[in-house]
Parts: sequence; structure tokens; C-alpha cells
Amino acid sequence: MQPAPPPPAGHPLARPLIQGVERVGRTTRASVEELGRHGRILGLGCGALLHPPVRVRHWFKQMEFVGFQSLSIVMITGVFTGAVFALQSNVAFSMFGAQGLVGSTVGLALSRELGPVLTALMVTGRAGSAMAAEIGTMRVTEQIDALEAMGVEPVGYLVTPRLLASVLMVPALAMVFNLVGILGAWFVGVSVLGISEGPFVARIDWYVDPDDITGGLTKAAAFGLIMAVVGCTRGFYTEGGAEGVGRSTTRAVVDASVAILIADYFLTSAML
Amino acid sequence: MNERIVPEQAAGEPAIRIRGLRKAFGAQHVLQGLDLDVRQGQVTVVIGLSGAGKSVLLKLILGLLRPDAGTIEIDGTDILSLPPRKMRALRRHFGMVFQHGALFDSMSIYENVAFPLREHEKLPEEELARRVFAALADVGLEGHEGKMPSALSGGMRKRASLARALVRNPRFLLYDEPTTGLDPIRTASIDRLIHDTALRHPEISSLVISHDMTATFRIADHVAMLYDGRIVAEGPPDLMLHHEDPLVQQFIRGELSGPIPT
Ligand SMILES: Nc1ncnc2c1ncn2[C@@H]1O[C@H](COP(=O)(O)OP(=O)(O)OP(=O)(O)O)[C@@H](O)[C@H]1O
Ligand SMILES: [Mg+2]
Repeated sequence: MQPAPPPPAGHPLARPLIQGVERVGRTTRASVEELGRHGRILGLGCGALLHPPVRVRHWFKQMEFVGFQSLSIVMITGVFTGAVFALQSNVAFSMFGAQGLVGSTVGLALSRELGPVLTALMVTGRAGSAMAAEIGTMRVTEQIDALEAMGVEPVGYLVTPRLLASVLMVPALAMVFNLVGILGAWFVGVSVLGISEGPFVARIDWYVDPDDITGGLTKAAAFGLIMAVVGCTRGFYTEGGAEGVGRSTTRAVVDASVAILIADYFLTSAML
Repeated sequence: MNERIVPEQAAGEPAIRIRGLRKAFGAQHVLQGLDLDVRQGQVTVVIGLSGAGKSVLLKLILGLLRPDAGTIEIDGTDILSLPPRKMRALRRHFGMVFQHGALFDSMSIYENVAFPLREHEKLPEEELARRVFAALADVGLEGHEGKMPSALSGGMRKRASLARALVRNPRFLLYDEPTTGLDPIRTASIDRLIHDTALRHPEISSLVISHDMTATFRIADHVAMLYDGRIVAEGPPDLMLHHEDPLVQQFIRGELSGPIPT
């Protein structure tokens, strides 16, 4: 006959409780560690700006990658967002004959919210994921060890140009998004829905303040920072070969997108 | 191959001195009290089973990993107490050939080899090109400088990595299996390169990880065998060849029966 297995420790009723507490403890510890990693990458990444070497060529290369190469995707998203927003707000405003407000509503929504947020989410999908994948691949193929072995500080080399490029280029792209979004709305409003052009344009000018635009661009810069920090941190701490790179890339996009939306709420409420 | 310029006993103070080194990954104890000296002007070869911790040893020496216990002194400086900035400065005196090359895959072979020069020496472009081409010629990669690492064979990548490690004439050379995966002719020429580099530059200290017994006995001034987390036997190659320890004999001859479980 088999000997009976030893009874597990603790009162049977207390066991799920202990397991629950253990799980909470583990999760808390892991989150604190994650937060520390992001903080470390952010700190070292910004700190490297203060020391030589200054790698201007890398900055431009990343700006080209984050900015210029995202241009088409941001423009397509922008035109259709503006266009669909015009359609929808026209439905609402035509109920009480205020179609002239369609232009200014689209302008406000784009410059304050949709431009920065949608641009940041699109660029995260394109460039934030690439940051995690590139840096993650360099980690698992020992290229980061090779940098260290040659006495090159890897965060300054890899992360700083990406941070800088993202903080500068995401607002620039958001501005492009705003402009093409308005164009999309104008086309739908004036050509498709037949709203007269005069009030459409005049009301935009009237309702949208420079403050709306600069506030939106400030948020976009913050979103760019979030995207780059999350993407680079995920990449930098990748473990486990090609599979690990895939995991880091997915997590980078998910985490950065969620963080951008959460940050949006708090930044907006702070700016109101 | 030919005479050593630095006989075993006459060699100076160890350039790298390791005592009581321990490193575990979780429950896996990889190094368990390793002692090793790497003498200046010599080629020290560490042999050992796959998974014995040879690559881990090199990463500990470079400070890429931190040991759980023990000391590593380089030219008498305890590197474990160095602040990161000093450690980084010290690493500039090292050339490391990674086991899998670790070339930067976003850069051409030329840019890979030029990288350490660009980072640490302000050279005019012609001088830089001259040094890069000389290093590439040393490893037999002339004419391939424009290729990307992904377009090279494994052996060529390894040689490019070797060129990158040698290009700044570092004082310490760490080679992680520099010839594994190369054809016999290339193996012999890389062995010659390692040997000649050491011979020409008595200020250089080389530490080579190898599985390859022919290569080991061709280039080594000193051979150390890593087994079970420690150096179990060491000495000049001819002594190691006739070492009485059955572990050493089994490993060198590649026998299936003996104290090493197979
Ligand atoms: N970063 C790491 N995390 C966890 N375990 C590791 C890590 N690096 C190495 N190990 C483990 O340490 C042991 C020794 O690895 P190491 O790469 O040093 O072996 P090796 O002697 O170089 O073998 P080979 O000759 O096959 O290259 C292995 O069992 C490996 O799984
Ligand atoms: Mg190894």
C-alpha cells in the first residue's frame, strides 16, 4: 500500500487565505521591481544627456525612425478620424440645426484629445514595439553585453536617443494629425454634408485657442516619453531568447498603451 | 608550436587573480569557489565540460555578472569594489570574443570593427580605415567588410568578432571558444593569431576558453580544467597531458568511461 501523503501545513480553512496573501505579496514585489526598472531606465537615459559622448547622429536616426517613418500611418489615421468625427457630430448637431459647430467641435476634440492620444497609440504600435524588439534582440544575442564589454554605457547608447526622439516627434506627429484631421473633417463637412464653408472655418478659429493646441502637444510629449521608457525598459530586461523578445514586444505595446490612457486622464484633469 | 618567451615560473605577478569565486543562478551552483591566475604575457586556456560555467567565468571577470562571493583582482585592483564608471574605464583595456560573436546586427562588418575605435579613440577617418582593414586582414576577412553580420557564416562572424576584439590592441584578451565551428584550416590560423598576438605583445594577458584539445595544446602556456565549479587541475600543457587526475585524462582523451558521468 502507498504511504499517505503528508498533510499540508496550516489549518485547511486557512490555506486559501495564506495562498492568497502570498500571491498578493509576490505581485506587489514584482510590480515594485518593474517600477524600479522603468525608473532606472528613465533616470539613466536622461542622465546620459548630461555626459559626453553626445551622439547627435543617433538622435537624428531615431527621429527619422520615430517621426518621419510614422508620418503616413499618422496621416491616414488623422484624415479618417477627422472625417468620421465630422459625420458623427453632424448627426448630433443637425438635430438642433447647429451644423456650423461641426468644424469647431472637431477642431477642439482633435487638438485637445484625439490628436495626442491616437497619435501616441499609433506610434506605440509602430515604434514602441520596434524599440522593445530591437533592444530585446540585442539583449538576448549578447550585443548589450558586448557594448558593456567595450566600456560603452548601453542605456546612454541605446535608450537616450530613443527617449529624445520620442519626446520631440510624438508632438510633431500629433500636430500633423490635427491638421490632416481638420482637413478630413472639412472635406466631409463641406463637400459631403454641404455645410457652408465660411462658418465651418471661422468657428474653428473662434473656438480653438492656442492653449488647446499647446496643452495637447504637451500631453503628446508626455505620451512619447511613456512609450519610449516602456518600450526600452521591456527590451532592456528581456530574457529567454526569441520567445522572450516576442513577449517583451507585446507587453511593451500593451503596457505603454494602457499607461498612455491613464496618464491622459490625470494630465487632462491637471490642465483643466 | 615554438618556444615561449615567458617561461611558466619566470612570469610576473598574475594580471588577473581570482579567489574563491562563487556564482549561482537560483538553485544552480555554477561556480563554487574557483581560484585562477592569469599571468601577464601568457595564454591561459580554461577547458571544461559544456555548461561547466566557462562563459559565466568570463562575464564575471568583465563585471557583466556579479559573483555571490570571492574576489577578482586585475593588476592588483579589486574590481568588485570599483564604481561603475571606473569599471567601464577598465573594460576599455579588454578585448572580448563572445561565444556567439555578439556582432551588432544593425552595422556592417566594417562598422562593427570600427566601433570600439570610434567610441574610444578620436582618429582621422583614414587612420581608422587602416586599422580596421589591418584587423580584418589578420582574421582573413578582407573583402567582406561591407557585408552585414546576417550575411556571414557562423565562422566568419566569429572571426569578425575577433577582429573587433583585437582592433584596439587591448591588454587583456578574453576568448570564448574562438575556434568552435571553424574548419581545421581556419582553426589553425586563428590559433596562430592568438599565439602570435601573445608572443608579439608580452604586455598582453590572454584567457581562452576552449573545448578543442588540439588547439589548447597548440596555444596554451597554462591549462586549467574547470569541473564542478572549481579548477580541479592546472599546469603547463605538457604536464597536463600526463596529469595523473583521471578527470583530466578522461576529458583530454574524450573517453566515455571514467569519473565524469556521460
Ligand atoms: N544568465 C543566466 N541565467 C541563468 N542561468 C545561466 C545564465 N548564464 C548561464 N547560466 C547557466 O550556467 C551554466 C554555465 O553556463 P556557461 O554558459 O558558463 O557554460 P559554458 O561552460 O560556457 O558551456 P559551453 O561550453 O557549452 O559554452 C549553465 O548551466 C547555464 O544554464
Ligand atoms: Mg560558453
